[in-house]
Amino acid sequence: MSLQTDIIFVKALRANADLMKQLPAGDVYNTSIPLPDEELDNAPLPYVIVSFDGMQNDVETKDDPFEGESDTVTISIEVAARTRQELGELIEAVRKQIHEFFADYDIEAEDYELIPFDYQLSAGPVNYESLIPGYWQVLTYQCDTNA
Amino acid sequence: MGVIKGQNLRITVGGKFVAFATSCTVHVSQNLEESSTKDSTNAAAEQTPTGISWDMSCDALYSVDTDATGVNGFQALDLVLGMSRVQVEFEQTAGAKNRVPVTGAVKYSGYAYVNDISVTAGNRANTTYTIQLTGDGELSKNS
Repeated sequence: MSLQTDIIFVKALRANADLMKQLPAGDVYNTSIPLPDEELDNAPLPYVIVSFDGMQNDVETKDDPFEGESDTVTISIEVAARTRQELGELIEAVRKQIHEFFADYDIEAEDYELIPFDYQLSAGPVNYESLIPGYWQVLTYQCDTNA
Repeated sequence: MGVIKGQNLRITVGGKFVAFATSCTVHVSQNLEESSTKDSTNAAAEQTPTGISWDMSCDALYSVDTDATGVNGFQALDLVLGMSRVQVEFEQTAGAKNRVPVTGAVKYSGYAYVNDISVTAGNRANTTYTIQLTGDGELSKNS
């Protein structure tokens, strides 16, 4: 399940129609809709990229001492925008959407197990790329999930 | 080195393994009665064995999953509420889910009351529980 954690992040962001309208691509980039590196400089701003950045398992039991009963999964969300203000607004919109989507998710839903039962959020610095030009920042979610 | 890894020593309760166990403990104690007398040299304490008492405990993740060879958290809770006296075994295992008894290995078995369970459900953490099995009668050695 933890290998699909990025999918639930994409689903969370897609659930916000207003957020999707702000993106010229009409969608977030992710493992299903990859953005080739060579096109990154030409992608219309603003954009959002959801990436699966690896996992580490945890909580071994005697039933399975090698694979844990839960995983820590790292998901990063890169947000790029034309202005500093636009970046700030998008970052906040993404944060709020992820938080509310996870908090309100239907416990009876078939893919409920994909929802992390906890996460820690950190953000990198705001960067400026003069060649584009534009600003970008990466949010990193350390998610605790049930394997 | 012949050290046995913890995952290969397991407790069964009523013929089923404690599912999702993370740790188990077997405690055997010889009860002693002090028998010092005025004849004891240099006032050294002397003891007389009066019996053996034993108990086992097991820590596990609290799961609702059911399977043919395992006891889950809810079933463990029911054993305590039912004031159950069950057969328990402490044995060496291997194989699938570490639930296949090792042929020829020594094991200890007896009857015990499942007399205590403590369930811990921390916010945003795996729910865990600990059961206490207090021996009733002999803990015998078999192989």
